[in-house]
Amino acid sequence: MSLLTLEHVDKTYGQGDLQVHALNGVDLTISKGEFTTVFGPSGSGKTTLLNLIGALDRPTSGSVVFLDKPIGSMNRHEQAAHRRFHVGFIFQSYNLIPVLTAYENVEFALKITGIRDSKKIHSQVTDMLDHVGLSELMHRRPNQLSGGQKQRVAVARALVKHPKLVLADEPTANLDSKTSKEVIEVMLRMNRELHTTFIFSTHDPMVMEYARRMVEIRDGNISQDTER
Amino acid sequence: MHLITIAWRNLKRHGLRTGIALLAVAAVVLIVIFSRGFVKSLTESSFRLYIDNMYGHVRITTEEYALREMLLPLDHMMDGFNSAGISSMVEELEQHSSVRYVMPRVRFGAMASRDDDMVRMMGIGIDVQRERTYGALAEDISSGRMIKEGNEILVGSGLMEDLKAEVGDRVTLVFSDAFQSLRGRTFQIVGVRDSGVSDLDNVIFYVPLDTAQDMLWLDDEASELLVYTYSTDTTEALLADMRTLLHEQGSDEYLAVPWNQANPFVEMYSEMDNIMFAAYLLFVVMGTIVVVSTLTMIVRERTAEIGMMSALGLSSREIMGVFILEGFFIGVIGSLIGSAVGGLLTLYYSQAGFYVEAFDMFTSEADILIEPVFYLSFSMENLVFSFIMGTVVVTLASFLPAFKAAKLEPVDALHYGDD
Repeated sequence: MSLLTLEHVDKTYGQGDLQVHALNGVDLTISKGEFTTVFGPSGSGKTTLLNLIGALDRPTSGSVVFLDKPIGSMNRHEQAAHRRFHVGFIFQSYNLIPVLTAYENVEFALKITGIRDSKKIHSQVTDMLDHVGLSELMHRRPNQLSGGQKQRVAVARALVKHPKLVLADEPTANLDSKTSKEVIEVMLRMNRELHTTFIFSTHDPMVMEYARRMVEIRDGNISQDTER
Repeated sequence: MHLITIAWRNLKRHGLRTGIALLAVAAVVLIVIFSRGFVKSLTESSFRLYIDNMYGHVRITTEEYALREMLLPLDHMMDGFNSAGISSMVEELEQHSSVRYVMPRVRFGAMASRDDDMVRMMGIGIDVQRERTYGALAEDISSGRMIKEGNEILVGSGLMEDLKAEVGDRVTLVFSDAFQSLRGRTFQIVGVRDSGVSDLDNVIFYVPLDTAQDMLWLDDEASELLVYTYSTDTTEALLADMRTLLHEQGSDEYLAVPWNQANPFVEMYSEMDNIMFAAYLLFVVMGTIVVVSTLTMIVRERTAEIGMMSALGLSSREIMGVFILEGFFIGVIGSLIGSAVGGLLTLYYSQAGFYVEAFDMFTSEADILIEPVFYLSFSMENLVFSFIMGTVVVTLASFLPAFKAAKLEPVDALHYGDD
């Protein structure tokens, strides 16, 4: 079943002679429960594609439809609400809130969805931190965690609200290979257990190996789309 | 709730900058509290001096006297209702419920010779019994006693020095009477008045009213009546009563003027509250510039974090809220510190007082009554006003950086600094 459809999506930055065509007529359909990687050289358009899928940006032309809703033409407020409820993000540089503990970072993502039942919140947050193997470190702040631990918190934060889609932009770029493997395995496990759709970009062949679908982008076009 | 936690903890995270912003707000609030205490003390003490010494709450004179007052004329005296004498007019005024005291006075110029110099001065004939009841004059007597009768005079401390005299000495004064004849009379100095105000102490002496009337060839007359009510706040009611009475008695040639309209300086003081409010606001705005700069730097540093919060789904309003809350906390804490320190300082100087040399010099040059020693006015109203002003203005000022933060495009903010 289709979760997301991109049709003839163009994205152009700048004006006049300084125009950069980041995406050129991209067509892509993502089904529920996929574990997909987007790969390609630097500047090929991976991050632009993820930004459009995550309603962080709007296409110059074409449509981005998420469960029958055209998210590409939503206003700023509607896009924020869409991200709040339906999309989880995992960033290359973790982007945790530095003044909150691991527990509070995860709790924050849940609370902003409007859940007020503190018992429910506590149980969901601790379960999620347990899933990513961080229950022992839940009261540490980001500066007291290693890179891998921070990224696990980011995974927990992205998943705690049970979003329909998790986008990860080079989630293992700052991690060593052992930690990268651990993080990607956590993501894969979540995908299997919670049936959450994952799309992640990467350069790392080892990480790509985990993907069930591989979408290659070159010069703003999808040059290869393989399922395994 | 989480936004409050984030805002609060962020203050500690940027400790140095927060500290500088807090200091700026605290300093401004302290200055406002101190200035308000000072201005209130200045105006209240100055108003009191003018009311006690010059104008009462309402002063009644003839219209001509008011016009030529500077010349101390003796040919435009008040001689009561229907020329029945000033004494009966005073008694009639005292019957009014809004009137507490009525004091007739005669002002005149005089001179004395000391060595090779002529010492110029102003005499004031006073109703000794009524002035004693009012009390302000008697309170300032630093040596000797209040005048009683006959040729006794009470002399200002500065004038006493110019006359090179002491209590008990006799001094011969020269003056013009109501018929412009130059006359002289010898008086005995029985007391010294030291009000601390050079304009009063350096030129004025006091003599019993009947003695003044006798020496100046005046009948039962006075140059002015100072009328006092129970509180400065009820001056308007007293004024209305006096004007009605003067009209009913057919004495429209008499002029009743309230204390706050009798002198341009007093009128200026009355406007001081409004002028100073603008000055306080300016102080606070200057302090908020530090807060705005601090928050603007913080917004810049936390751009990627703002992008992340936006990616999590926080609305622009919620992101604004985080920064406004940070400004609010800086405003509240800074204003609290400023209020506490300003309150303590004001309280201390309200007891100890402090001497402003410049005012002493200024008042001896200009015709203005200001006490050189100030006892700052301490009031909770001042602390609460300054605290609220500091908090509100700083919070409002934080809207600017907060708005900038909220306006950032999430995708740009997330990748801020990537290049």
